[in-house]
Amino acid sequence: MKRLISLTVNGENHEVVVEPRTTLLEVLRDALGLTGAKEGCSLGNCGACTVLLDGKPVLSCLLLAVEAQGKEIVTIEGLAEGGKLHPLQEAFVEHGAVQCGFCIPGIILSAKALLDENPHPAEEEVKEAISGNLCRCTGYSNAVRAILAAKVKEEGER
Amino acid sequence: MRQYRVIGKPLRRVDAGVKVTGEALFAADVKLPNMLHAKILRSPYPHARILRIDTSKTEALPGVKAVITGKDVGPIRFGFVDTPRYPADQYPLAIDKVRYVGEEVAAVAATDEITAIEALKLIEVEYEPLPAVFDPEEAMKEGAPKIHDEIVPNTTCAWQDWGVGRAARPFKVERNICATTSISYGDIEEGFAQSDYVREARFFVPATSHAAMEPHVVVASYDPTSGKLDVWLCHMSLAVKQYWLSKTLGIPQSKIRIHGCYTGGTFGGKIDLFAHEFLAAFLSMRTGRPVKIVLSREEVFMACRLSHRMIIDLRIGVRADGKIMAQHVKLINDPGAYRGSSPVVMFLAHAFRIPIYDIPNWKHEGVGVYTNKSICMPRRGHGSPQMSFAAEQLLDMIAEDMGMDPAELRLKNVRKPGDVLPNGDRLDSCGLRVGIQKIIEATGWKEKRGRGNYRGIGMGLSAMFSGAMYYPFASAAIVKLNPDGKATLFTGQSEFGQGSDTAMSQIAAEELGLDLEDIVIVSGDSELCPIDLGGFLSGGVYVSGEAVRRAAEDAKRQLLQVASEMLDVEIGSLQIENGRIFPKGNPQKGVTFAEVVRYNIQKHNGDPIIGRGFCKPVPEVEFYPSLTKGAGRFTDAYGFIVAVAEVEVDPETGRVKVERVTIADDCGQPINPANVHGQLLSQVVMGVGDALFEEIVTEEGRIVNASFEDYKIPGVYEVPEFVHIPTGTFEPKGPFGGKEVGEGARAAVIAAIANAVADAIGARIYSLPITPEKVLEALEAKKRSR
Amino acid sequence: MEGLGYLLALPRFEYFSPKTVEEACSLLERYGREARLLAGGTDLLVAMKKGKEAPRYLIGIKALSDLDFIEYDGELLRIGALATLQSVADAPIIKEKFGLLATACKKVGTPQVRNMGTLVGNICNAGPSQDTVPSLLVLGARLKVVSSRGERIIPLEDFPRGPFKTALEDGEMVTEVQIPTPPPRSAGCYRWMTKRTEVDETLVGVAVLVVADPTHERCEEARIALCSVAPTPFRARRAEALLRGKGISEGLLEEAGRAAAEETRPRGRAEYRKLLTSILVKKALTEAWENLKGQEVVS
Repeated sequence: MKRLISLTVNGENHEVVVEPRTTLLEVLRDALGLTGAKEGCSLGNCGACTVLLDGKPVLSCLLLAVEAQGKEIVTIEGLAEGGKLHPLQEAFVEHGAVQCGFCIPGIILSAKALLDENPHPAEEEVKEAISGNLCRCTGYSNAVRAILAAKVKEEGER
Repeated sequence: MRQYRVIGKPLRRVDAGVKVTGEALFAADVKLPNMLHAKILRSPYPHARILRIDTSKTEALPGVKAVITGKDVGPIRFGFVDTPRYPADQYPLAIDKVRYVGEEVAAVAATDEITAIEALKLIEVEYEPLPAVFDPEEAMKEGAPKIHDEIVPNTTCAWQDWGVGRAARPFKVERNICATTSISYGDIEEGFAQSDYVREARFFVPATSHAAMEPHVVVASYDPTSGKLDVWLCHMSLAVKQYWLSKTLGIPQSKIRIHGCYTGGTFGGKIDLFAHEFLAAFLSMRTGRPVKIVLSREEVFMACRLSHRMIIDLRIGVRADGKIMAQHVKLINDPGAYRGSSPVVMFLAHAFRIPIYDIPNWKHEGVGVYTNKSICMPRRGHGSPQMSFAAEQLLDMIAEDMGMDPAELRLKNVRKPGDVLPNGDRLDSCGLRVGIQKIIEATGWKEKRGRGNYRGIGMGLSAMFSGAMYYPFASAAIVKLNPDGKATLFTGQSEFGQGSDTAMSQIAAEELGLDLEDIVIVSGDSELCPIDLGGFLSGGVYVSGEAVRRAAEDAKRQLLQVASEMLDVEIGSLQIENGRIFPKGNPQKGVTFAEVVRYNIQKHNGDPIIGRGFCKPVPEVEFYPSLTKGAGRFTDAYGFIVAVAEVEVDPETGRVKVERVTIADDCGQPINPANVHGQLLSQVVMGVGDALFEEIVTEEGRIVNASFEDYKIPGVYEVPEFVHIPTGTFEPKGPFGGKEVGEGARAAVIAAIANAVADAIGARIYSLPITPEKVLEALEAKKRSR
Repeated sequence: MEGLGYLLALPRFEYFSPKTVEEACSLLERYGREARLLAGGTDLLVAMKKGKEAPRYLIGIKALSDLDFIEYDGELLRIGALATLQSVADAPIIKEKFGLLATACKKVGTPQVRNMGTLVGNICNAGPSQDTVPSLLVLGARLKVVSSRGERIIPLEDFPRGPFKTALEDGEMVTEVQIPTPPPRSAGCYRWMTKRTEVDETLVGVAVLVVADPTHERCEEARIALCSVAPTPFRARRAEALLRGKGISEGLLEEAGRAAAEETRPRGRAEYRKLLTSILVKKALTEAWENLKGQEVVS
């Protein structure tokens, strides 16, 4: 039984028609064309589908679209502002933390949630924040360094 | 170390920007108008006859546009290996039998995914389960279930199409054997007779999954009017996919366009043609609409290849003075229900070891055996990880018998620059010796070795080719100068994470004296780009990079020619720098590239400047060497790795912690050190996974850990400390001195960890992964033997 | 989705979003076995994608905001059905007074899973290796269960009836977990080892709570609960009995570890699990006892 729902994504309102079984990931990618969130495993183990829901990282492949109504959803496409990269995005490029790129939107969002709450995390806290994001290409270390470096940049910009 | 403008600098990747914003296009992101979604029905049995398939209910379901089975497709053979001796043995859809759990049986195209899935439910298949066999040694016994009958090629084989000239012949399958290899030189009996220390052991390596983050996906769109097929898929080589799509679908290669898009990691798991790629195209031809097939992670585990299972019986003999005299390998390869890359992996298990140690007497015998399990193909090292796990350990065991430091034993035997291998390959660069020396010093090897307290240090060596003579046998590149004086580079290399877009751009920029930002790269599109060896033969830098350099050099030659005319000076007295050409010592009197281009068009009949370049992996030969006999030139340059791992073992729980991995790598001149570092770290972390916990577990042929819940890959907490010691050699034949780095280290890391564990616990583990239980068992066995 | 579980696709279902607990219960009663409650979804939706569960009706309870609470009145800690694992792990009162529960909740899954999954959901999944249950068992937790027929309290010990089976009857839902303040002179901890990697299913999980006698010399009571070593998590009673009223020594703790190991009934990797049980029980008891002695200094 299809229904019309209203989603707020990256500050914009969208009305979409979904079935109860439709996941938020499917809506983002198919209906809204926001293909940054990826389907890596479908069962919530890889974190490639991570988006922010009211500021917290969640697995959009395990969230029914109907249950995402009334929440603030942020995807990777919502990070850069006016064509300017978010400090985290900049840091990932700078520190060689990107190879194939498939896991990157998820990792960056997990990191953003951390930095938004804790602008000065310790290395252990950074690792914990991305412990739910699998990466097969890079070996993670550069991502950790990038996240630790990004906070410095944010400081400098204030 | 030479100083270059952009080569050797850790410049930012050119593709990182679109990847951090999520804009980067992957095949799964492609949406075409009027597109259908297809799903595949897979065999639940490891071995069964198909008695009947009834699709009548499926066809009646609203939204279903096509249902196909083996009857609709027919016995169209394909495979990774298709030679006169080994004709391809796979079908897109099973014809009369299924041979492994997950094999494709039927496919449905429908207006949306859920309808396609509901439609699959309505397909009725009647199977007659057959006795199955899962162990290769059992499969070779008399009376074992017969997995394949005679394989009769019904078309020309790939080798024939590629010009080898010998027709394919039927392959009679006996004792479930799919391939054999037998390579030898010297006199193995004599070699052992001259040895004072001889050791032998049996090693087991299980199948593992590449587990790239991007699951396999294909979008295919056939236009009947033009006869053109447009495809988006994940891959490591345009040429391999294009050739096989053409062969199986009957569409000329020039009418098949594989569109450029990023691939989300490969590691060898996205090379050969997959059934779902054929099926999407076939369904598109049938329905007249684009068709998209997205595989689930579980399907990727079952049906998108695994790494090769091997049982290795290894015997090595060493003389009292430390010279390795003989190595005898008897290898059983279990590629699953179809041949996969069995003959290749067995050949490479030899070919990747022979460049490391100078052993005069060598025998390498291998047999590939069908079993009713998922198909095995290359995975990052393709034979090297398995063989290195065995050989590097056995060498350590012999060193122990001799009371010799294993590093010392290696130093006494590693090859050096100038060595010529038995097959004729010459090592113009080889950083093994200097790598070992540097790593011994950097890691504190001598002090740490045998220090006890369940802490261990171990070493592993590996080698990797830099491209080989496999279809399309060359890479080519085009460099086009634009009116603004910047350059556009066309290369058939595809960016799947390894950094080729950046490395190729750096090479072109260096040759032309431009900056990285001045190069626009068009890559990975079979229609826009020239032929390329692809990224699975580890020839990205050495072959494709050299083709790029030659194309840039050709453009440079033309620029200089025209500039010399414009400035009325001899070419030899001209200098190129920063997009300008001027007489040496007189920079004010010069012309910009833009001016040169304009002049050339105006004065020379419209000639814009376009450079072309090409490169063969091995200039002297035309084809791949014999897989069975190992004779013939293989590659023109080898990358080398020396790895040292340091581990700590908890003797109570058996848990192993890898604390540090140090790598001394010889990749010649690094094109981009950040890329090199990334490739090595990647392989360190992969190696930890392979060494300690990755393995595909099956029950009656069914993979029971086909998810990231049950098959664990390293996460951020599993990353050890990584120390990188570049050995700074120079490969004279490579572009700016560069050669391979993306594939060889994994093998060395696994071997180093295995040797480190042995050093820590004083006992050997002969199978991967090194689980806590195996460690405890080894410790128990050691106690009992006292 | 039988046989097509490999496609990892959600089947079709109808979805309700009740506004009150009463509404939720009446829906549960109406649809019985064909309906399932959906809280975080990290267990249920995964099972549905794998084809293991196919309820025709999902009753989403995320709108029941009254159930999203963590309250402590000095005697009883009450955690509502919608409190996420992360919120329980982060709650200052839980970290301070019920530390082992915070530890256990933090261990579950990944940050994303913990932001979505609920503590009550984790308990109701009732798998053999639910990390949160051992801590709750040694803390003496109870579940408040509501239906259109009324309310009842079920001690957690009586709740899991077998792997993925609970004592819930048709039409019932758990609305909160109730945990009494730990006894004075007590300390607890949760320790575990995973199957392979650090973020991974628990291979053996051990929660302990030790209570010292007024002299702090002897162990008045020890509570030991294990997960992932039997069809359901359980209290290792025989091991506990060994410690009751005894002075703590390394030898005694080792004996307790061995006794606990003997009480396990693991399926896969059985021998190794038994070994780890004895090691982890000893380690957990040692840590808890050390913490207790530390408390003595403070008080």
